[in-house]
Amino acid sequence: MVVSGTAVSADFSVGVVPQFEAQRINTVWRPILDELSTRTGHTFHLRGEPGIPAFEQAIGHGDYDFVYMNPWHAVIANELQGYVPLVKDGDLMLTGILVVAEDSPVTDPMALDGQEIVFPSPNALGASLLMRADLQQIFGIRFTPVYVQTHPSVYLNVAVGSSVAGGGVRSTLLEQPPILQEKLRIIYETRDMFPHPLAVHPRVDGEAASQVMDALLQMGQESASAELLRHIPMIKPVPAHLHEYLILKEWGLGEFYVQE
Amino acid sequence: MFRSNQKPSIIRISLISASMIVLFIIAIKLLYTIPRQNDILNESLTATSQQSLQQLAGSLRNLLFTRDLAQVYETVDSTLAANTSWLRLQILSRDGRQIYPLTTWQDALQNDDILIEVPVDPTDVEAGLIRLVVNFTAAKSQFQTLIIQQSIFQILVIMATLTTVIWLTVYQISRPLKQLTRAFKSMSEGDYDCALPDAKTMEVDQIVRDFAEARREIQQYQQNLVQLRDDANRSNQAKSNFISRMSHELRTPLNSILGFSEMLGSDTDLKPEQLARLGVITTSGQHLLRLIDDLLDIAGLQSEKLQVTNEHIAISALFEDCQNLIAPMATLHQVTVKFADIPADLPAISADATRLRQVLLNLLSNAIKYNRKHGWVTVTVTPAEEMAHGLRIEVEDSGAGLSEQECSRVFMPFERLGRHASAIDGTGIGLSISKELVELMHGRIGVKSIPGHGACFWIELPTATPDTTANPTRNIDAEHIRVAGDVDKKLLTILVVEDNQFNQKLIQAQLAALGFSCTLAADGLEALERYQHTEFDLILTDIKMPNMDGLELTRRIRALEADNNRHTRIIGCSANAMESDQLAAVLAGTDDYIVKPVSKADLERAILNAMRSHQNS
Repeated sequence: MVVSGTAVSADFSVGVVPQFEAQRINTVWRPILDELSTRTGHTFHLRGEPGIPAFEQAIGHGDYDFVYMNPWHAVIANELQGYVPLVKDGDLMLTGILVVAEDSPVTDPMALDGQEIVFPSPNALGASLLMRADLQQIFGIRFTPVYVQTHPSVYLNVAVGSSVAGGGVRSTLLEQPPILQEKLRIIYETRDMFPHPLAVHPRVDGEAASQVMDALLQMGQESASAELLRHIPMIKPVPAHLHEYLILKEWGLGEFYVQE
Repeated sequence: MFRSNQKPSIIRISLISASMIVLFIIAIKLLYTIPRQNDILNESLTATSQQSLQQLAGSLRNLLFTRDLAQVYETVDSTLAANTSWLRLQILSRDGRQIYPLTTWQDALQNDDILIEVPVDPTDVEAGLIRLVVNFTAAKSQFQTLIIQQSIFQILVIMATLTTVIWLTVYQISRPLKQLTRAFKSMSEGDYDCALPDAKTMEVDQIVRDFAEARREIQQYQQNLVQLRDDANRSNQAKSNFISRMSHELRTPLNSILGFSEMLGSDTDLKPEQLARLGVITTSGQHLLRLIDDLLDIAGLQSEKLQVTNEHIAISALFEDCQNLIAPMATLHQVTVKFADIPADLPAISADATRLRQVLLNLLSNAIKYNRKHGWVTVTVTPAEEMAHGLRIEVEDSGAGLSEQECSRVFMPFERLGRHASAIDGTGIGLSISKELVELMHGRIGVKSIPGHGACFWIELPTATPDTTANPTRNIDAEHIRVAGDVDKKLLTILVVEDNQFNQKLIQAQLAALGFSCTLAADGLEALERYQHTEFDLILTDIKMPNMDGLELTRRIRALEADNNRHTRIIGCSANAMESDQLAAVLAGTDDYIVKPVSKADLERAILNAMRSHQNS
C-alpha cells in the first residue's frame, strides 16, 4: 500500500477466498474493482492465491489491504491481523445443510452414526465447520468426514450413492441443476450465520475504507453495478460488523478448524 | 482396295476405350473403394474414439479417486459436447453403481450404435468401468458425401482428359488420315492433284509428306509408262502396217506364180520331170504363202486387230473338213491319221469356225510333220477336264515327243522344237498363233508328252449355249457341186478390174479355164466407165489400184445402183489379207472378198456363190 495522504489516490491489494478457480474469480472481481477505482479514485490490484492454505497464510501475514472471505476466516483474520468487516450481503443468511439421497431411508442425523459423510473441504464454514460442529456437539454422533473439494461434488456423491450424506449450504444447493436437486433431500439445517464479508486491514486509511464501503453500498443501489456484485454473490450490500462474526467463536468452531 | 470400313475406326476405338476406362473406374469406386473407405473409416473412428476414451479415463481416474464428482461431470459433459459422435457415456464404480450420468442409463443400442468399454484404471480393471456409446453415421455420411464428390470430380477430370485425347485423335490423326485415304483413292483413279490434309502433328505430317513424295514419283512413273506404252504401240502399229504392206506386196507376185503354176499343171503335155519341177515351184509358193499368212496373223494379234466370232460348231463337220484338207499331206508323209467316231449326242462347241479349223489343221500338220515314217496320228474328242461345260480335242502322234522343258516353251513364238526341227519346214509361230486364237475363243490349249513316246496336243473349248450363233454345217465340196449345176457359165458377163498386168493375164486365163469369159479394166476409173455403158453380172475387182481403188469403185457403183434399182455382184480380190481390209471392202459394198493368191477353185467357188445368192434374191 502506498499512503499518500487524504484525498490522494492510493494503490490497494485485494484478496478473494479461492473457493472457485482463479479465472472465475478474476472474471467476477475485475469489473467490480475497476468500478471501485472509478468511484474512489484509488487503484485496486487483485491478488490471487493458488489455494485455501496459501490464502490463509496471506491473511496471517496481512498481505491484503482488502479481503473477501468466509465468516470463519473473518474471525481468524481479525484475530491475527485485526481485519475489520466492512460490507456483507444482506439478502441471504449462510445456512449449512445436511443432504441424503431422495430415496434414502435416513431421515435423522442420528442415523448417520459411524457412517462416512462428505464435505467440500475441512474449513468450508456452513457446509463443513459448522455442520461437523453441530453433528458432534448437538447430535453427538461419530462419523468419517471425506472431503470432495466442492459443494457440487458433495451433492453428486450423495446423489449417485457414493456417500450416505453430505454437507452443503442452501445457496449452493439451489444453484444445482433440478435433476440433481430432485435426487437430494435435506434432513438437517444449521444455525444461520451472516454471509461472507469484505474486510479491511487496519493499516488502510479510515477515509479510504469508508470510500470503499460507501462505493459498494452505492453500487448495490444502482442496477448496472448491482448486477456486477450479484456474481460475488452479494445481492444486497449492507454494512458488516465485527460482532456479527465473533459469535462463531462461541459456537466452538475452533476445534473443528483444520490448519493446512 | 479400301477395306477400312470393315475395321473399327480410331474414333470408335477411342470412344469405346474411354467409356470402358470410365466404367471401370466407376465400378472400382462403387464396388471397392467406397465400401472399403467406409470400413476403414469405421475402424479408424472406433479406434480414435477408444483412444480418446482411454485418455478421458486417465484424466478422470484421479478425480474419481478423490471423488471430485463435480469435476468428473464437468469433464465428461464438455467431452460429450465436443464429440458429436459420442451419444452417451456411463461411469460405473467398483461396486457397479452408476456414477455418471444422473439419468437412467439406456442399455439398448440402436442401429449402427457401437459400445466401447475401457476400465477406469487399466492396472486395476475392477476399479470401475467407462462405457461409451458412439454412432458414426453422421460423420461417415459427411465423409461419404466428400468421397462421392471427390469421385465425381475425379471421373469428370478423367472424362475431360479422355475427351481431350479423343479430340486430339479425331482432329489431329483421324481426320487427316481420312483426307489422305481420299487422296489415295483419287490417286488410284488417276487423279494426282487431290488436296492433301494440313497435318498439325509431326507424325501425321511426316506421313502426308511421304505420301506426297510417293505420289509425285508414281505420277512421274505413270507418265513414263504411258509414254513408253504409246511409243511401243506406235512402233508395233508401224511394224504391223509394214507386215501388212509387205504381205500385199508379196502376195501380188505370188498370185501370179501359184496361179500360173496351177494353170501349167493342168497342161497335159508336160513331161514327168517338168511336172516334178512345177510341183517344187507350187510347194515353195504355198510354203511362202503360209509364211505370209502366219506373219499376218501375228501382226493382227499384236495389233489386236484379229477378232473371232463364236458360233455353234458341230465337231463331226469340223473333223470331216479337216480330214479332207489334211489327207494329201498325210499321204505325202506316209502317216496314218485316224479321227475318232463322234457320238450322235455330242454337243456343239462355241468357236470361230475358220479359226478353229486353222488351229486344228496346225496341230494336225505339226503331228504329221514331226512324226516318223509310217507313224500315226489320232484325233479324239472327250468332255473337257478342267471346264464345267466344254469339250476336249486331243491330237496325239507317234513322233519323238517333247521334253518337259520343250513342253513349256512350245507355245512361245518362233520356237521350233524337236531333234529334226531344222529339217522340217515351218515358221515356228503356228502354235503361238493357235494359243492366242484358242484363248480368244475362251478356250485353253496345252501339250503333254513323254520324250520318245510321242506328243499329245489338246484344246478345250466351251460347249455352245443358246446365245451362240448357229452356223449351218457347210460342206465346201458338196456346196460347190450343187451350185455349179445352177449357173450357165458362158452367159455370165464378168468385168475384171486389175492394174497388175501379170495378174490380168492370170485371172483371164483362170476364168477361161473355168469356162467364163470376161472384160478387163486397168483401174477403178476405167471400170466405172465400162459399168456405165455395159450391164455386167459380176465385177471382180482388185482393191489397191491407181486413179481409183476398188473400194471407191464399189461405193460409186452402189451409189449409182441406188438410183437405178440394180445390184451388180461385186467380189473384192486383193492381196490385202488383214481382216480389217475385208471389213472395209464389205462396208464399201462388196458381196464377197477373196484374198490373193487365188486358186481356180477359190475363184470358181466365189463366183458361183455370188451368182447363186443373186439368183436366190
